[in-house]
Amino acid sequence: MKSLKFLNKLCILTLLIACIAVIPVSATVTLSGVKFMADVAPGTTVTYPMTLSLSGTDNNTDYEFTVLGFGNDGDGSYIGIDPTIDTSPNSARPYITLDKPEVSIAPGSSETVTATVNVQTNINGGLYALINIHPKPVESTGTGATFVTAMNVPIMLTIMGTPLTETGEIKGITADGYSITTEFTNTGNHHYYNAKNTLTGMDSSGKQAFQITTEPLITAIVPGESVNFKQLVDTTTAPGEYAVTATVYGLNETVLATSSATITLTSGTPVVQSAPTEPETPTPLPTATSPVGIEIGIISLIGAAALIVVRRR
Amino acid sequence: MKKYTILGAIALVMLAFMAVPVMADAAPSTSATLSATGSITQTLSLTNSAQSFDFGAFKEGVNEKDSVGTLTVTSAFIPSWKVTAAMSDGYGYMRTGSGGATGPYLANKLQEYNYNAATPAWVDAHGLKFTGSSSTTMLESFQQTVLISDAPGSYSTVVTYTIAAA
Repeated sequence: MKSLKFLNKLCILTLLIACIAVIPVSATVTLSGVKFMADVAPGTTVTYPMTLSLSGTDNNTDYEFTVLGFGNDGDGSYIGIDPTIDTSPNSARPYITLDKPEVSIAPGSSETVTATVNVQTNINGGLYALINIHPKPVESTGTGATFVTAMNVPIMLTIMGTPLTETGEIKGITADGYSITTEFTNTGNHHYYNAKNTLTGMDSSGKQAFQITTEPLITAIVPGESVNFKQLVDTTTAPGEYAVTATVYGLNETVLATSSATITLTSGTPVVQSAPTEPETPTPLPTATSPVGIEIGIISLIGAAALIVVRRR
Repeated sequence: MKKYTILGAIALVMLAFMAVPVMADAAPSTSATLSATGSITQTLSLTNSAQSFDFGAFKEGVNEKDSVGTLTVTSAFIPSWKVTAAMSDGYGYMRTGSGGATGPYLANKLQEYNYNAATPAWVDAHGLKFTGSSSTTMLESFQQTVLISDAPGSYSTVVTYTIAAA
């Protein structure tokens, strides 16, 4: 009888553990309307709704929507430019208004914020801005880290009927060990995707020593912004001086810029840097159910069955 | 028995009505137009399994580290997206009231075991490319080196993950 009671308690405990295990503790923020990319006529007004929703397990959260200038980080990532230093003639930021710059979202619900863009008549090419959606600033406490998730909504508008210029300039080619960096700037008035850089190195005898090409960028380079193409020369290449030519291509192998320089490859441990072009694609992890979850599920099923058997007896 | 026969008859009559196209009063027609509508909504979801993480009491000369959780991105109709990470001090050091930690805050580079300083280089390390409409999960794992030169106090930081469609 005692063993039956013990079994009974064990079953209940197992069920409790299973219940706790299936309650999600994570929080999910979902954005519908993630990129506004369109051709627009000068002098028109266009709107773009963005709907933000929270999972039912999250806390009530206040989100701020902020219009920023559109910038590229060295690796091509999109970064917001503070309005005080956003001076690009192709910035859409001054012409964007939001109907609600701040929303409070309850768990399991959503809020829609609409951006209105007044397309100017005196601008050629494209208009660009980022709408940054972030929780109201939180203060970190204790000895640890607080994690915040935010979203950037790229606004990329092409003004119809205006001349589009897609040009670029290589600002510099430098070497550090066997790592060569090519700084490239979009000097046009329109963005371009898939930019890539080919480096060709010739030794002192005029013979080609290496030729390396980056993967195309997945992000767009917007007017006035720069990226750094970082490439690693094969370490079997002899150290020394090389005449290097960098050629940056756009979509369909269009040459955007080319430049030459003399660089020196120095021996020693080369500086391995992540290229700005192709960040790694991680191996997807199981997301829905962890092996522990499966085990708990099986245990709980066995426990429930045992409980029923015991109760019937 | 009789009841079932009546019910069966009613069902057969109803079936007949459903199967026979309605012809009465319909104008003769040689073509039909099917109107269909549909829309595609681009969505991005970011799920963080951890809201915060506490190292607890630091021990001198010890690399405090732990796995924090996972960051999951789910996309629909987005060819590619990118997640970037930034620390509240802008440089990659945990802060206390009077200053920052001497050693940098380190982040595990995805599933690899090497830790990287959580400086802007860490952003590169967390950069991702993903094509299609599916989910990807990244492991979050952090480390803080505690040195004898670190001042007493509570050290903290805010890590912001920002996602954007490319």
